[in-house]
Amino acid sequence: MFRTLIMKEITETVLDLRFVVATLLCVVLIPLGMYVSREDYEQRLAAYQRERDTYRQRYGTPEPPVTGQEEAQGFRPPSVLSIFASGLDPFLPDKVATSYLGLFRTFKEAGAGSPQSLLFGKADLLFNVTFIVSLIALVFTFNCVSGEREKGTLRLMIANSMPRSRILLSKIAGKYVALLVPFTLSILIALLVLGGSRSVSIGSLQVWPAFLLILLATLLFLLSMICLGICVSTFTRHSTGSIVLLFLVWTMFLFGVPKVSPMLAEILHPAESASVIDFTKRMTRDEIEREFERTERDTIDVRWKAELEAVLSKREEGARQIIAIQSSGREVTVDDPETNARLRELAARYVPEKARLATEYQTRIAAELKRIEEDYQNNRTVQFFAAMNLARLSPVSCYTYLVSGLCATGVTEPDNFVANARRFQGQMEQIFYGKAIWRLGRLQGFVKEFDRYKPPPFPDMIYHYPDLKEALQVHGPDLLLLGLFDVLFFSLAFMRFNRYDVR
Amino acid sequence: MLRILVTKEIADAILDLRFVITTLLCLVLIPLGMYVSRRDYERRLDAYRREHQQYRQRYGTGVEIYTEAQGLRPPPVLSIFGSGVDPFLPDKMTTARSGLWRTIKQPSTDNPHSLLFGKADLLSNVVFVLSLAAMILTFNSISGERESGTLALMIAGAVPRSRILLSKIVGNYVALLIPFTLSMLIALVVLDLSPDVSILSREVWPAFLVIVAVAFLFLLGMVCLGLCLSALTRHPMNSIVLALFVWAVLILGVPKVSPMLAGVLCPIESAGVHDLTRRLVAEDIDREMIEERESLREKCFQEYGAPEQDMRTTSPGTEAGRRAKKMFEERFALVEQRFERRLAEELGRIDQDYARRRQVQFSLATELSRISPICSYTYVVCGLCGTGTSASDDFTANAQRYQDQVKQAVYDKVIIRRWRSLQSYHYADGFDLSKAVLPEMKYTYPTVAQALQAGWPDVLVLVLFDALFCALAFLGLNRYDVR
Repeated sequence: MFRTLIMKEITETVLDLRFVVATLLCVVLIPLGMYVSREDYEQRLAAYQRERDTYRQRYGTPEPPVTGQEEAQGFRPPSVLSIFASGLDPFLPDKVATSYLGLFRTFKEAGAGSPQSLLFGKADLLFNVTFIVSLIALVFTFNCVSGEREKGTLRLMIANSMPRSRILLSKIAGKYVALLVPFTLSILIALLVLGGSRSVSIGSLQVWPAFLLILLATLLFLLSMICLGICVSTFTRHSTGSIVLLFLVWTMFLFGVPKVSPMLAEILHPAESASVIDFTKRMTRDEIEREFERTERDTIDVRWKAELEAVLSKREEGARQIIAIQSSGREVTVDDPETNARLRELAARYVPEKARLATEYQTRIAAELKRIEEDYQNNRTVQFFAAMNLARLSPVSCYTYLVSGLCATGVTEPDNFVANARRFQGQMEQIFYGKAIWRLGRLQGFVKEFDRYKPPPFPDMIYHYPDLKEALQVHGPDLLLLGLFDVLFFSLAFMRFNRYDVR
Repeated sequence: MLRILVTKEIADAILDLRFVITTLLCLVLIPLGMYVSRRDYERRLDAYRREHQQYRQRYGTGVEIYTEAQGLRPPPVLSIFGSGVDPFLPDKMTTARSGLWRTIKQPSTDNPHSLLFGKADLLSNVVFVLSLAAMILTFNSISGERESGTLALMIAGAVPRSRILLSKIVGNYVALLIPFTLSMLIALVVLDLSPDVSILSREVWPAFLVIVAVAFLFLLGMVCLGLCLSALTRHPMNSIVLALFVWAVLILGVPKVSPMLAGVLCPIESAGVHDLTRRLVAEDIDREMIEERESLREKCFQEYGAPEQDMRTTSPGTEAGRRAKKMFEERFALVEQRFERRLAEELGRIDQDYARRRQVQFSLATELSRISPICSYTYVVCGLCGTGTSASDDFTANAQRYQDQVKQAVYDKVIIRRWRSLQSYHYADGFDLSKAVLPEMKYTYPTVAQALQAGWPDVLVLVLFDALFCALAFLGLNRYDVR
């Protein structure tokens, strides 16, 4: 009996105009989107390889003699999985340049693609599923309860002493299978399109496990959309009412919740922008430095100057200059050997004292800056998770988070880039910057085993994308939530359907 | 009679659940989107101002010979209404003495969530939400009335069909404009609360009026389209399926497919390949020059009968060698000039060719995408907001202008003469490096008149779409079987 019911649902859907339209949309848009994303990836990959090779050839080994200030560049290879979901990829920096000061800089090439595609966005698999296939799922299901009531067939079925749960289940299964037919077909064609590429191999270890997971997430997501459609249908008595409600729900899930939640999070947990934090940091540093200068002048310089003036009773106007010269580590010699000895003795007393003070203030600056940065990071993390959790009210956002996370283009990727850049900077410091000896902003020389005429070649940046395990660790809740949404919409539909007035 | 019909349509639409939901959506999404876009703009403006001020403080007066002046692009205030390609445009450029200015784009991933889900500016709200609302409001206004039997009654009442259609268009249009206008008013209040944006400023209000007018035109097109689809089907269920299909194709299909199709029809190599071609040409010419240099050197030294070993040293030992070297240097300077000219010509030719083919592809993509009124609407609005498809060309023009300005103010005032490895600097009269002030970059966005000049085909296309859909609906209704 159950089988008959399912078969009836499937035939009904397949024979409908909607099925033809859906198949057409899927078969055209998904493979086309895959083709474009593949081309785009190949171009980005070629650009990356060329840039890296050019850099290797030209600057791979620094020109001897090195000055200790050379910068090394690291390039971010495009993630192969970005074919499925470009996510944040267009906004991420492409390369990083290390610096001997310990602060790396990131670069982003201005988008050089066609302005039309920038304006209208990419049509990758993620977009096609969230916009087109989800809409198709809702269009398939919106009238399957209210429409049958209108036609009177629902009453007939119930009159045949058919349990309502079975009717509902058969509807879900039938519609789901009918939806999966065009989707699977178009995915297969898209895979063929992808397999035609020289630089992407579907069988590679990088691609297929992630692809399978993406498929699993997509299946879960589509199931939740089917359940949602049936649920909407049980809330109304007329199919026109269903379509209107569906329109509201779809718009809310697709546009409302995902776009509103970052703003809401910002209002609930305000965090300053990065530029404001930079400004605060600079202000704090300036303030402490000024305080340092004042303290130095008032506590050390005053005494030193007084003693100096006592020593060189005739040339008192030179005291300040002598302090400045001796502080920077150079010698001051006057004609008189006795005065010379006195000067040296004073310098030996006061210079270390000044150095101590400087170190003390430097640690204070470092601590303050670290505190500000930590505060900022904390605020940002709180805001970040608030936005994420709010957005998770919609299955569309869960799905987007999960797929973009699996494709290494998700919301955590900017942080991952910074981590990679930091690692590269650390590597450079070990190999190169750490070998130079600096004192008061001047290069003093290099450590013994380092030959500045034979510098080692700079390392390549090994960019590490999160693997599946790491991605699942972050986005596991999303997968779980998708499952929960399935259950929630199903049980809602079941509850409503059980109380549905079939007359 | 028409008045009664229109009133009936309006009352019909307003009393429906659809109207409530549309109003709700509009009232929530449009003001909220405006608020977010405004905040985003304020933040970008703040960052711009701070950077500008800092740059001025540090490099206010006094320049160096090789100084690189920075020009910053202020965020366009109208990008609040349509952000378009703004997030992809470079933020600043640095001039260079060599004339090769560079653009700089700062990666900004401050708020990854909103980047992932896209912006909710006015443009996207109108394009996605309101156009769908227009379809939903109208999909059953003919096929639904047929099913409920009222259409047959109306026709029996000797009301001309054209009048019925007109009343339906007007009624539904008004019903759609009520929530839109209401939410726009609230959005304007939200916008005006900002300390950085004033609606009444000369920059904002003319453009805003045009944007609203174009939105009205666009929505009229969508209402006519919904009616047209309703007149083409006999059951409301089929109408809605057709409406959603057409909507998906017009909004998601055409805009995204047309750049790809243009790429397939008029393929051009990527910027990287173009770069490589340039480099290869430059290397070829360089190699030729080296060959000619060597043959010239040999010729000169043979002419003077200088010994072989003089050819390889920088200071020849014999008199003949010295004279040969002098001769060679004089002749080589001419050869070098010739090659430099040739290199510039070749590269210019390649660049021009590439730019021309790119232009062909882009205009093909534009023409193809105009099949959908949504694309025309997007082009007009983004063009008005200074964030359209020509924004990157505008940036290039602005950058070039600034480069010329700096060249005039600084680079041209110092002439560098090179003699072998020595350089000497000659300053123009009254020019003092330490007192010179770098000019400011005056970034100009296209004015409303300019944007309309560029965007009038799109406005025309929108009007044509209105007329087309209206005519189609009329044709469909005239032949409609009302039983």
